[in-house]
Amino acid sequence: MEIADYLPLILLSVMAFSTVAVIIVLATFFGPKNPTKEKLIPYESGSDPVGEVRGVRFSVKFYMVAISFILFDLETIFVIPWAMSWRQSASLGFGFYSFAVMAIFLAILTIGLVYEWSQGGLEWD
Amino acid sequence: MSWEPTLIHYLLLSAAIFSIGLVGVLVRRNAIILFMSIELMLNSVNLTFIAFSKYRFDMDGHIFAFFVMAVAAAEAAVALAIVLHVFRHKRSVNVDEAQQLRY
Amino acid sequence: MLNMQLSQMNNLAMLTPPSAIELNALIPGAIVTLVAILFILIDVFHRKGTPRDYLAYFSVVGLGVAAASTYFLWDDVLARPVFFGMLYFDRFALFFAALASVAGGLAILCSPAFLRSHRMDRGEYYLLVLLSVVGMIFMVAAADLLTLFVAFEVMSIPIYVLAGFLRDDGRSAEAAMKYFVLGAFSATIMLYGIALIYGATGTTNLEFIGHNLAYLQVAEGVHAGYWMALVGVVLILSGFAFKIAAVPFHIWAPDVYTGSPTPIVGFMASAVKAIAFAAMLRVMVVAFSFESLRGGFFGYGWIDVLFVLAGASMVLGNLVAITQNNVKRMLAYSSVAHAGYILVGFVAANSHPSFFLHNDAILFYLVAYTFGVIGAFGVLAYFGRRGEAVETYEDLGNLGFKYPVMGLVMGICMFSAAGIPPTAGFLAKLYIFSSAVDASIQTGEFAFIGLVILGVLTSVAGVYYYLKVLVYMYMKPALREFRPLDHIGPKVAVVACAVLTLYLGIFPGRALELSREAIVDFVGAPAAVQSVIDQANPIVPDFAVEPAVVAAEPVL
Repeated sequence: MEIADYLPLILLSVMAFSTVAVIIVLATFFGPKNPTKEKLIPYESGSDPVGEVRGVRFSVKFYMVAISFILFDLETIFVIPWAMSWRQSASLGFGFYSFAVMAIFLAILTIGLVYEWSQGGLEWD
Repeated sequence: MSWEPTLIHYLLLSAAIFSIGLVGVLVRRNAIILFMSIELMLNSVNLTFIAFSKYRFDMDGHIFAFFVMAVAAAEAAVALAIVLHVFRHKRSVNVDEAQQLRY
Repeated sequence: MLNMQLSQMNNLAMLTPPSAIELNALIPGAIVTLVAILFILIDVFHRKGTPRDYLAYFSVVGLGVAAASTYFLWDDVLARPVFFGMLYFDRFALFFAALASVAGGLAILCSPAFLRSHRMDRGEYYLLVLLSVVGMIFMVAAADLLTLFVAFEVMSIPIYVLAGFLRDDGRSAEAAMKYFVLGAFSATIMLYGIALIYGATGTTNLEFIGHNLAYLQVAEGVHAGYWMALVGVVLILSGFAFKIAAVPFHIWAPDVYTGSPTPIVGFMASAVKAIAFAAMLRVMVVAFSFESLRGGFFGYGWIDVLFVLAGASMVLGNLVAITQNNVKRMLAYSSVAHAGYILVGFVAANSHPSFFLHNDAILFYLVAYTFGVIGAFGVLAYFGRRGEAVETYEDLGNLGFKYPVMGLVMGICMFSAAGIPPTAGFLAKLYIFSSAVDASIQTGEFAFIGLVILGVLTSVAGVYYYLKVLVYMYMKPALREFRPLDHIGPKVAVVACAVLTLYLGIFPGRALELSREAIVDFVGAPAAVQSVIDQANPIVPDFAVEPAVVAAEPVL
């Protein structure tokens, strides 16, 4: 692979960096400034940025949401390859078969979702 | 400037990651880190699959990697639930403190 | 076979539906899956605060239907892989599908009262058993390392959860954690082995792996791809050895068996072990039958590895079991010892292709062992009320006279485990050892006889701790009062186990016939093994296996 093959990548990096730089520079010169103590601390999604990390306890609720997300998010890795090959399958005349197979998969996932819902897995409180 | 990574480089990288995970499982005592090490091992196997798959122009390895990802997610869900369960009883996720069953 | 080659050459084949006759292969698995899905839908509408016994019975009926379906499918098997080389649909798979369903059903029957006493009467329990059985059914039918791995995890993950099912019990949590960490670790190692095999042979299909490995060796003698395959075989073997709890990989068994809910331990010790053995047989024979990988005898192939594991498991399992005071822990070590006995049969039957038919002894042993173990753990579950469960030998005092049925069942199960006639365990051990002796006479290898002598000596040691259970049950005073879980489920299950154990011990004919038919109808075997099978099975059906075509794959 020649270095020229990486040219788009280099161009993209240059553009990305320069855009950010321009925005920061412009904001520094033209943006309104009204600093307060709260605004000057590092941004940590609302939690206190200073202190013992181990002491911070997260609610178990986050765990439930995260796990549900991972499990149902992963269906995409099966659905997208299926979607890519569906056209071929349909051109062979087996579009409905291909569709039915995926429908069964999604139906089982949906039943899982219904079960999780009924067991209170999606309740925040 | 015509160097490019070949199969052996991917294999070495994945073997290195696999070994890091393996050592992590054997050495670390925090249950969460154990599970992270196992995930690391699974992902290094994925890398092996993809490297071989690319090398052989064969899609089977890609498909296998997808299934490994799905299995890894299922394992992660169960793993975290089990760690929570243990933590509720022991107030600790250190596997060395899990000694109730040894007598 | 034709479909498989098509799929190898042309991925478009994957986009076409399988022929209608192939769908039969899914029936047992699909029945259990449907039962699980219906179970979810019923459980959603369950009225809170009422017992869930009806859900347990529903699952048992579903599993029973799945087991019965294997009977009706017995003559519809196909002598080729189905679903584009992903699954086998042969009697071997059906045999173990039936065994897994029956074991799951018996374990579920033991459970409702046990769970209620632990205040964990939750529907998920039965659901997880059902899903685990689904994984088992597909694992024995797997014709591809992909299906094998996915089914392996579908079988294992529910069991990890079930091990930690007793939420109020710290020991259950600990058992689940130990089982999960070690189980996931060994599964990952196995997966790395699969990746190496895929790299060396360029396919995950078991039959093609077999062909391509032969090609690897023939083409260039010893080369990198061959060594990669060798490491891969060892890693895959270690994954199986973990599930069957053979000796260096048995560390988890005692702790997990002690901490997990008792009915599930019966399931874990019987079905998981049986299915792991079946899948190991399939993978090793179909994919890794190649002479130099097999290792002949002391050629350092996998036969020799398993030979060492067999000896170590028998010795260590039996000796450590003697020192145990906890009954569940003792049974855990005894299950390690049984893994050793089965491995003796495994080594003998697979050391040379011409002994392949001796594998029917393994099948019979697994059936006998399954009923014995579920019966024993069923009795323990019956006395497993929360906070006052039977744990040590002393706790068993006088239970035999007070609860005659349970005492009798425990007696039969222990006799069977110890290998005392007229129980199934005796005949099973006899067949295993006689197949090893037969192999030894035909090959002139003394090593098999040595293994058999070791097996007989260690099983004599085993008699000590099995009979110790009965001594305490019938000859020692009771130390404390037990309130058994008075429920019809465990009674039916353990009596069924005891009756079957006795029946198989006295009239083994039908079960032996079935094992024989299952092993003769083993699809995917390489040519050397296939010729042995064909000799035993002269009636060649018209859809017989076409001659295998060696795929000229590019090698590393």
